Amino acid sequence: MASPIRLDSIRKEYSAAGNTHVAVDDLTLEIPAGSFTTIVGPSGCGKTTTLRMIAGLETPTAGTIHFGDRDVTDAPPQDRNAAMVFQSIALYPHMSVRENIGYGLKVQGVDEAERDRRIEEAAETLQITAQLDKMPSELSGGQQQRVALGSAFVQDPDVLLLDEPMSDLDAKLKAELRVEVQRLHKELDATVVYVTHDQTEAMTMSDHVLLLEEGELAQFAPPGDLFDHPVSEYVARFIGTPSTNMLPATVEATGDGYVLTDGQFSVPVPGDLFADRVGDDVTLGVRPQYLDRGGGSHGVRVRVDVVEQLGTEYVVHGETTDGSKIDVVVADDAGLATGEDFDAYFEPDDLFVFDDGGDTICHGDALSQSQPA
Amino acid sequence: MSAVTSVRHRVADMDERRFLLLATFVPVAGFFAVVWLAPILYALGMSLFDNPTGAASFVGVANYADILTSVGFPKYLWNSVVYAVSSTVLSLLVGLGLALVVNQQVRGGNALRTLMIFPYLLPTLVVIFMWKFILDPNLGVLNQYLVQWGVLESPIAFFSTLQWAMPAVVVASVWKFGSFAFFILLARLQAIDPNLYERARVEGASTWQSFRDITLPHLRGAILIILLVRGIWMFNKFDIIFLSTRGGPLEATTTLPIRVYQLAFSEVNFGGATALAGIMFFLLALVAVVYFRAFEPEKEVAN
Repeated sequence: MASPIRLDSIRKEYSAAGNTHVAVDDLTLEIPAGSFTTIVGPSGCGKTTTLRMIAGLETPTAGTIHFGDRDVTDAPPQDRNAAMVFQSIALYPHMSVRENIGYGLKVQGVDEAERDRRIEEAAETLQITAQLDKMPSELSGGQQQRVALGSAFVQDPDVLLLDEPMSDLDAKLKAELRVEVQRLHKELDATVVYVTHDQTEAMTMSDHVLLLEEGELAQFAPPGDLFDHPVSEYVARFIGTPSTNMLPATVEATGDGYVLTDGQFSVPVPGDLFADRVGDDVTLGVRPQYLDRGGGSHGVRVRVDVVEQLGTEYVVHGETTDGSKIDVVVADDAGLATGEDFDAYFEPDDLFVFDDGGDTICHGDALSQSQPA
Repeated sequence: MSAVTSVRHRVADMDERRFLLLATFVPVAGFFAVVWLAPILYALGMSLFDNPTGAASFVGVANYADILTSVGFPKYLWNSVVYAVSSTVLSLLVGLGLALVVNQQVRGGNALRTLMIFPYLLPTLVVIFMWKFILDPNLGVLNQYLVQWGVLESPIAFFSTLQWAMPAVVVASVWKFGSFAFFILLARLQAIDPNLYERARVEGASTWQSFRDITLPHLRGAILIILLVRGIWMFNKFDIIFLSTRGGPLEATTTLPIRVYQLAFSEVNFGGATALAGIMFFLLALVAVVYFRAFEPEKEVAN
């Protein structure tokens, strides 16, 4: 039975040589039963620590963890009916693939006939039937990863935890296994928590994404929300490739309302949000995909630095007139040479506005009604 | 033309490689011939003569027959086996236990690891002085405490009591050689991926099951090497026994090496001594063959 996972004010500190390092700080969230949740963030943000606390391999310094109604904060990993796939894959090197997959069942006392039945079922799902009697060292990286998934799968866990399981695989295998992991999720009645630093994995696979910033929750939302409604500059920068452009601007009062301006553009904004911010510095976030060379209501001048081709599209890395970096995704690179200037246009709809502390003031949809018709 | 050139190239190439092989092989072969092969053959040759260092007369395998049928031989062989097996197995267990403790990264583990090298570094003579002092019936700390705590009525002279002499020698040997197993096993333990243990815990394995299913299989190769190498060394061990008991009391600790010494230097029977040494050599060779057949340690290396 998949169970919801509830974290309440989880905190984890490590002490080494008199220094206390806070790995996870006051994390509270509820992961719905049976959902696929991805924990994402840069290295050292506490995502693996969070996963290990859910697994029971680490005990929180403070706070509680519940699986459903059951408090598992201090329960050993053996008592949680969780399965985990490690970044290092962690196959038992002296056991055959069959024994590797069946080890969890064996220590739980499942008899051999039942064990073999489940191992073969898992092997079939993961297409490793032909490898069952080989040793792990004879397998390719992708096959080893499938075995690790298989040994988690056969245990029929309530909670399936995956710690960057694909970080060592090449792009093609990653794409293949991504599908595999999602298929497993559909077949298993389990709540899946998946740790990755690769935001593409996070965005494509999950029902919910938990983005961490230095041990604290930055945003916990479905992937679409994270993309369209980031709660802070950090979230907007982290989610999406290339990273969201940040354009500095100032709030100014004009005769008939308020605008955000940097001298080149002047975006009208609603008074209820900006009336008491006149004179403040703000940041406009706009995704490189939403900048258009063809035209639009507002524009910035861009000096081309480097043009990268990404298959069907091009990423132009450049600078605005005040020297801040800006990326523009364009369909063709006609006439864009290093050192040349062009205008990139955007619509207020696509903007995010952040205050000088990095928190979101509003998203584009709040700006649209104050635009001149 | 080009075919001729390539053949000539190949010949020159072969010569160069052959030269390199010879240049590296011959000195090693020569060294072993002088330092190992010649003395071994000389000793084995001596064992076929009566009074080989004086008026040598060829007696064939008579020396071997004399040794094998002598009254004491079964006892000396038994003493050797008891000493070699018990000191090897116990030093393996002690080393394994301490290595497991240190590997848990307990407080003071590093200090313990450093301390472990000392018994191995101490000269055997010093080790024996120390243990003679500890086990001495009049001055020894052990006897003093055992009597004080009421375990013993009166002190025991461990090294010179019939039933205690062998255990005392074994204890001193284990104390000195336990660190050999300790360091090999610790190195192997530290090479085990800690995620394997974590995976086993998440899969529901108890501490004992993880030890049996992860730790032991990883240590198998190291344990086999320790058993073979330490076993041979202990079977041939002379100094620690001779210095502590001289083979006594009443031959209670007379192992085959001690007997070889007695034959050679007390009874001036070099033919018998070399014959017994030859017997030991063949016994160990036999054990080694059985060992390699039974455990196939080369598989461990291949993996």
